Amino acid sequence: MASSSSSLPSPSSSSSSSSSKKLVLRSSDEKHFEVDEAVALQSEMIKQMVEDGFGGDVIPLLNVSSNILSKVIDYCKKHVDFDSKKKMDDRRRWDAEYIDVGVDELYHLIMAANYRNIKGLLDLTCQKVADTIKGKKPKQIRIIFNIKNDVTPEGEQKIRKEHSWAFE
Amino acid sequence: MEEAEGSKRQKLSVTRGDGSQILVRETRDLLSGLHDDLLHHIMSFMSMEEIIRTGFLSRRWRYLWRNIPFLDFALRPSNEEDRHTGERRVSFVETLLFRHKGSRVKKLCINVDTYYINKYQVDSWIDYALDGDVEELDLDFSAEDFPGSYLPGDELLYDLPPAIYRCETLQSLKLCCCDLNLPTSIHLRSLKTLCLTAVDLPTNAISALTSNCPVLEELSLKHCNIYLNLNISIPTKHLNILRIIDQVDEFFDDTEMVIDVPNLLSLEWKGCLLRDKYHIKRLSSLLKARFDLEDALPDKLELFLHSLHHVQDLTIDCVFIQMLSTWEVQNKDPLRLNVKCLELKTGLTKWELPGILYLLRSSPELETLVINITSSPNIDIDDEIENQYDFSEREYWRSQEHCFSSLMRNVRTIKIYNFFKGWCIYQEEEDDCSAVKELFKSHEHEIELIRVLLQYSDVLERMIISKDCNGCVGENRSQIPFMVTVKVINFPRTSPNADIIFSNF
Repeated sequence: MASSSSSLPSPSSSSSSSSSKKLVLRSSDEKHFEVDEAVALQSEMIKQMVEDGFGGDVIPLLNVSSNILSKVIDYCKKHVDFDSKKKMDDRRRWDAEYIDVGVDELYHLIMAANYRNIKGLLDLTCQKVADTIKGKKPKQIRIIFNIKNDVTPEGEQKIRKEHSWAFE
Repeated sequence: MEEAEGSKRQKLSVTRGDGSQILVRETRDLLSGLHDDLLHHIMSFMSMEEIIRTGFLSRRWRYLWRNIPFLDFALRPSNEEDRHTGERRVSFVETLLFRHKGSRVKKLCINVDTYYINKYQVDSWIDYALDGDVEELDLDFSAEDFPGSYLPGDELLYDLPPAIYRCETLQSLKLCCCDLNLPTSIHLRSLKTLCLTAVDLPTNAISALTSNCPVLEELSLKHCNIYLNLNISIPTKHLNILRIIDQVDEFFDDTEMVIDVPNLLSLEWKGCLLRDKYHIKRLSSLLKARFDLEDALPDKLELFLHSLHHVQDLTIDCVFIQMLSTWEVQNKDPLRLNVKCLELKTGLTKWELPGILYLLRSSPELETLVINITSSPNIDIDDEIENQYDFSEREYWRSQEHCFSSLMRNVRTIKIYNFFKGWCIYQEEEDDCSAVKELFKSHEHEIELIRVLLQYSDVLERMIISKDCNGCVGENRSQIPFMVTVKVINFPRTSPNADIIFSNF
């Protein structure tokens, strides 16, 4: 039995291990991202590709630009960490900060989460849109999301009548 | 195409003095360009009223809500509302369903107190969902003072329409506070999840239900049969997980429970172990068990531990551990458990320490030990035991150190979560000797436990220590103090390759 002496290992600041398998993802603007396999597999789509034998190559993500991809990878990395630690409060706090973005970025994140099939991120982004809509008047919602009101005043009257039962 | 319409790009530009144009901001309606499925997914996080309100936004949105695949009717009147409002809400649902007619219903949730509502109306809503090939039904009829608000036979108790039990598309069924009204013919061929809350189950109900659900994976029984015997017999069916929240009424504590699920993989138990008798017949396939107890009788715990001796992955909580402490101080022989991964949810308070030792002595095969530090409830140790077997909390691990030389033989991984729980110290205080001393003192047996574990785990590969982040909002809330890391790192380790990893987030 060896006793511990001078060669004590130093504490590492995080629990990442360097030996795990890496995958390379390529964004639509031809940038390459090397990520741990566990992180990439948060995406059901990539999981399927790896199962189908694409794991050794560069995985092209045609619809995702590099700035959105790096944001998506941030999410996946953090959630791999969270999954191993079971801290719901931390996760919620981190998610809330993460999703505090403008509507354009939010849209691209929804598209990327949907395309790469990352359920947690899709729910987070869609919840954010829903929360933004909640409790606001149609006029306010239109301004936030740049929705053009293409309903004629007569049409609007008609909708109002049609929906009156819901808001008595 | 309706979808393309909303996403037309409009660019706002401003002409500068020199004639060049700059783009101020792209104002594109990206949201309306999303596919219907995604917009419906967004709507799934909104109330029905809010969903309908989106019909005002633009032509793209006008009819979007009419084919949403989920219907969520939370019809509980809030305090200031009266019965009249309840009736108005019913007519809201009726009109909505009329307009929705013909669209698919993937999910229907109804949450209503049957006092406010006509049963036939609810029947017709469920029928509507069944006609729409519903996949998920979540029906909650509990009254305000749930659980046990309606006694069996109460005329207000909603009885389910039997057609539910022949639905071929149903994958998840959640029922709360209703009469199951089980027909003789049941066939739920797609059902994967069944969750019953505050439901009274006749003796053969679980066996009848599960034997006619060929792909059932999860069964949850919460607050069921609190006045009655409960018979959980699933003789042939393979089941991944069984979740039980058991509770008994103090005036009906002479009830019994039978558990006979030979093909079950995982068991989660919350609430109490206070029934008069538990008959644990077969749990031979069980790999994983998890307990979160509020109260339990010692002989019942013993029975469970004996029946779970073959489980490989075991999680137990403070109440359980405290009970085991009384066995340890009375020198009760250790059990022989086959557990390979043991998670302890413990506050590491005085009357939990012997229980932890007892579990380590009972688990010779242990490979992974997880200590999840939580706040433990007040301890209810028998006065007699407390007086007769009293010990010094501070000296406990040191006094028991001799036991450890034969323990921890196979432990390769130790994880400690919420280390220094509730601890709070500010940056400027860290240089202050007395503050650090105080800190060490208040977490002495946490550190002491780590010392003992490191000293006696021969084949340890890694110890992961992560700090509690919830208890403190100070500047350095994410840091384990340097003094502590130095101290821990300098503890002697018998395993030459053991890494200590501090995870500070």
